[in-house]
Amino acid sequence: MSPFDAAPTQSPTPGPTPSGSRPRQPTQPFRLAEGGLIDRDTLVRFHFDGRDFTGHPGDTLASALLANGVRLVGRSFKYHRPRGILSAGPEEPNALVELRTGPRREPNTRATTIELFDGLEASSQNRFPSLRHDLLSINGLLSPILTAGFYYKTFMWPAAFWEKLYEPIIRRAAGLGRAADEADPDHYEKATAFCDVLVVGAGPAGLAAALTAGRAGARVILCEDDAQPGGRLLAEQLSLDGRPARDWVRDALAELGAMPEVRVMSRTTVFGTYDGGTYGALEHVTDHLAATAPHLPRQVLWRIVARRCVLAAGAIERPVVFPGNDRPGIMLAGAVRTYINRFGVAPGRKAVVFANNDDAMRTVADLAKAGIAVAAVVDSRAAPSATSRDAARDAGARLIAGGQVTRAIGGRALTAVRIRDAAGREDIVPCDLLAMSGGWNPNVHLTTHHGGRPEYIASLCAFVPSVLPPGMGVAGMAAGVAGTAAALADGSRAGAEAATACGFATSPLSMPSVPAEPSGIEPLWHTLSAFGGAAGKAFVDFQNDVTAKDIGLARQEGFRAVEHLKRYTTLGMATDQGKTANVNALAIMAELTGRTIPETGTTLIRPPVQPIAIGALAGPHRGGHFKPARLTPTHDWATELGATFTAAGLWQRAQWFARPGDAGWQETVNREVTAVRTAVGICDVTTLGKIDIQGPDAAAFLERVYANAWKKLPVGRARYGLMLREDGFVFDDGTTARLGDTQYVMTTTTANAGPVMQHLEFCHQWLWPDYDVRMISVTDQWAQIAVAGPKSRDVLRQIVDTAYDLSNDAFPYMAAAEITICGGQKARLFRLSFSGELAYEIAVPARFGDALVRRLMQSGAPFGITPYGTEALGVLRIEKGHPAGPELNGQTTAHDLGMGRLLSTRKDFVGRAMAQRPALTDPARPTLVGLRPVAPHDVLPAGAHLLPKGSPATAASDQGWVSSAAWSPSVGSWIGLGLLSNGPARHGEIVCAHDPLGGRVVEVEIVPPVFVDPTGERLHA
Amino acid sequence: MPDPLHARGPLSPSACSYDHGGIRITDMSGRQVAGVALLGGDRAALDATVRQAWGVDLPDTPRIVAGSGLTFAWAGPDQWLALSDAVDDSGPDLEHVLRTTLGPLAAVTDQGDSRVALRISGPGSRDALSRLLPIDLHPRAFSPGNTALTLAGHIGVQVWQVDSCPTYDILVFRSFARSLHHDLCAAARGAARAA
Repeated sequence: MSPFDAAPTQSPTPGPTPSGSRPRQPTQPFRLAEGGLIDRDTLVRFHFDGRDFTGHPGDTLASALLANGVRLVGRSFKYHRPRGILSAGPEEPNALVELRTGPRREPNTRATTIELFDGLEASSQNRFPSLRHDLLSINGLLSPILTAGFYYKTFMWPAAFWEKLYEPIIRRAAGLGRAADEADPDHYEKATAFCDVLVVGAGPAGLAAALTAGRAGARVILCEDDAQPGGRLLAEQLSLDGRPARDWVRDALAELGAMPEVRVMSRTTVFGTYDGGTYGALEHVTDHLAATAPHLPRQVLWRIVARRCVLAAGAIERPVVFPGNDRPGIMLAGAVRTYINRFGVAPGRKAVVFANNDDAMRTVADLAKAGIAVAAVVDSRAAPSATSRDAARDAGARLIAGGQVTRAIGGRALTAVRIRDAAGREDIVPCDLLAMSGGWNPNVHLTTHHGGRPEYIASLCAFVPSVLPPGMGVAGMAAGVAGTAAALADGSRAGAEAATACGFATSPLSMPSVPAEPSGIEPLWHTLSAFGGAAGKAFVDFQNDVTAKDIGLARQEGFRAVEHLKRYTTLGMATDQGKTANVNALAIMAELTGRTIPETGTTLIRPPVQPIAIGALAGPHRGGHFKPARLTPTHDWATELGATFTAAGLWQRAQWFARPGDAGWQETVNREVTAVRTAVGICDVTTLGKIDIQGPDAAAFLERVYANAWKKLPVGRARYGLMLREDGFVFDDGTTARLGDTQYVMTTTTANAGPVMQHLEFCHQWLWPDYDVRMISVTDQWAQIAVAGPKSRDVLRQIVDTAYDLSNDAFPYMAAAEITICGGQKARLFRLSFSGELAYEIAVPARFGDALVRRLMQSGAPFGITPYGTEALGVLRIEKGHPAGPELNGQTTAHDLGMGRLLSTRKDFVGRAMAQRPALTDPARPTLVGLRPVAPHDVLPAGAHLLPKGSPATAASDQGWVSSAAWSPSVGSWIGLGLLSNGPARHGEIVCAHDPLGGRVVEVEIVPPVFVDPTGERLHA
Repeated sequence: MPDPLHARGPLSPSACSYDHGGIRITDMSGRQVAGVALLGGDRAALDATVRQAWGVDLPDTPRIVAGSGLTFAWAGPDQWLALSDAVDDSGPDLEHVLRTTLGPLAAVTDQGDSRVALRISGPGSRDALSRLLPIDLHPRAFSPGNTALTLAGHIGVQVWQVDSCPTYDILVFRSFARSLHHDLCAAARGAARAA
């Protein structure tokens, strides 16, 4: 038979067990007549690559495809090789499909972990135009240039070709599934769970650990990746105390379910070990359902905090490296047993078993029992064990001791294997199933996330955990403890140790009797005589198409360290993280370099152990709920007025209040500015940070944290304050009012409310702990509204109780008082102005903020009161030359902002010494100036660079920048603030504002930074 | 004399109640709250004054203690929140009462509008909170009277257990109240699903 003359594996050929007397066309021809944890009475329909199939509840997509005789399920990453199903678990590197369609399409989903549901749709990946006829499999013929490192070598020149030519072609040719194009319609949750003992894995060791710890009264969480807890107990022909193992599992789960402090979480993958006994886990809540109900999350990301952890994650079987070892029909020996015993599926009709260990001989027996012919048992051990001999004899199979499978034959499906016996004679044995085993790799992943490297145990031919993260113990096959009886005992021991460490009294589990399970093994990594690849591709990493030849090439080119090997060949870098590949690869590298396996070492394994969708990591924090929103007390009122909102950090602030008839936002803002300049406007300024400072040393404390003087500020007055960082640059500014002998209220910018509070606490707790002073945030306590404009006093007069005199003499600029309004309502009034007009800020307890703004609108209507937003606020302050965020950018000094004279010379304060550094006092530093385009309607772009007129547009000519700019309706021109070298000395000079992004150059005149009321008459009116 | 101003809660009226699947979420804003922080360093004098006035010892661990007419919640070293018994702002001005009683022994700051409480109650509320709070609320770890300063998702909160129903009060800065209420309701729906 020609290797490329594959039998059509998807034809409805009757399987080894006829499907009974049903009159319909044969379905599920490879379904065994009996056995398996499936619900045979219920049919589940599904579609794969457009064809309709049926399966049963309890199936995975992989088992259902096998039951239907579908063995070709995908094309490989690079060479487009036909691929089938290798495993029966989450380690699957080959059977990757796109699950579902439309916005729920999920690429690279392992058919071995997809629970079958009615209406399931899946399609194969990386094939063009179809799975059976893939034109790009010609890549396989190009393989001489597609070996490891080929991207680096081939596409170096010309560099410009990379982005436009090479990369798109490579992305078309190589790769796996396609992500969904639309937004994910499902929702995800995050949750935290705490326990005394976290048990990872619900096989025999995990169940025993959970039972032991649970019976002791510990809070236990048992996480199982699979939908059905039980691990290998569900996959083996095994009796415990003379009963089927699954009965023991059922009883154990029933007991655990009845324990109030035990939580069994199936479909939950523990994917990472983090600090402090924290573990990441992903619960698949509705992935197994046809449709996600709107109220159910698709997945929940769990943060599990455990005092102790028992890792009982079992092991993953190793393939053997030989030419053609990726042909559909070649399967891990343990997976073959899983399909037979758990799913009632025959993975083939004629099998060869190839292994180096006794465990795989169970497969021989299970195949025979299921009625599947075993053509040969190839045991690589020179002296096969009694187990092998007995298994072959009982199955009526030929035993080839000391033999090897040297090549797989077949195209889209396996048709035969070439076998070499101990004497070197070769023979071709027809078969459609090869069950292979190179031994088992303990699942050490969660033990390595703190940097621990596993340790190689030669007698097991495997790496086992060595240094463990704090609080973790390992049990069962994950620790290299083979066999069900040993796993149960080890699990019970580990569960007892963990519970004891948490202070619980434990007693050992009574152990069920288990038949002997031989597990002898001798090393076998590959059957290659040379690594040149002459005999055909021998795959090490199936998912990333890395061959033994690639490892040879890596060695030849000097990439011998395992971390280099990984990066050079991409070994282990696919979504399966090389779970079936890594140990074989480093064993081959060890052989090539004449080192031992421990000398060769392992790569570092990082979380997550299984792929995690980004949606699960985001959880509920998406869209409008990506961050929390802070709302001002007047938010609902502003919403009613149709305000446009803008984000200021977490705050939502009204940006402007458009009215019907406004031509655009600029007209709205002009109107709002003009209202403040000519009548009165109101603006919610609650978002400014407010800090209540009390104590006998409050004044002394302010002297330290502010750069300017505070001691003489009388009660009932406010003052502008400038705060420096320790390095001498400006940190923040604001006004602070003295409300009593020992009480002040400080304001900060909106952006720095939190940082200033932290800074003050730091100063108090670490720098001056002896100061008798206390601080607490009152930002949210007070709804604060700016009332600005020449009519502001008239408006306030309407609501402030008559006992309080608001005249300029009684309540001058910078006055502050606790007052009452609207008939006794407590309030605070400050005469502060950011706009330069006669202005106040009035504060009431936040619950009254909504009522206050409505009352102001009502009382102010006769005076033309107009609400204004942050945009008008910005224009007003630019017109008045007040620095704000763009000027307080962390790189400016008090001198730069024209406030050098504020720095007190009579006291010490934070930043004083460093502010005196020569570079910070250099007069040539860019300093605050006003800017006015020569042509008033020339748009002045913020961010533009200021260059002398006529100088070349180079960085060397750069003398400063435009920090803030706006159209000023008051001036009738664009205006701006900027920082310009030697700025104050250059008033009247014309410079050029270069905006390379907008491609504009604007001539601007340097002017003083105050455009409106430079003498301050309005302020003091 | 103008009309008095009327108070308004931090939640939108349509979002104020949630009562599904054995979980009830209620708006407890309106209660009087004041920050109390030791001044002058004479803790013994402060303790004695508080004990005499309200019959309780100020807690030094994360607990809340109920006195006659007042509850004190630990809020940091030598810092507490005092809460009135009334769940609205009736009764004498709490800040004034505390200042008058404690004098120079403590800094007192009105926080009744700064911190608002959302209450979650019912058999499923512990499950709901496990979707929001990163702390252990199991009865072995957290019981009535315990409090914690922690995070609800991205929002800083102070939570305490009121009773073993269980009922929890979650104190949050007022401007975050709607976001927290949304998140609490989402968590409650998630817990109802899990149950």
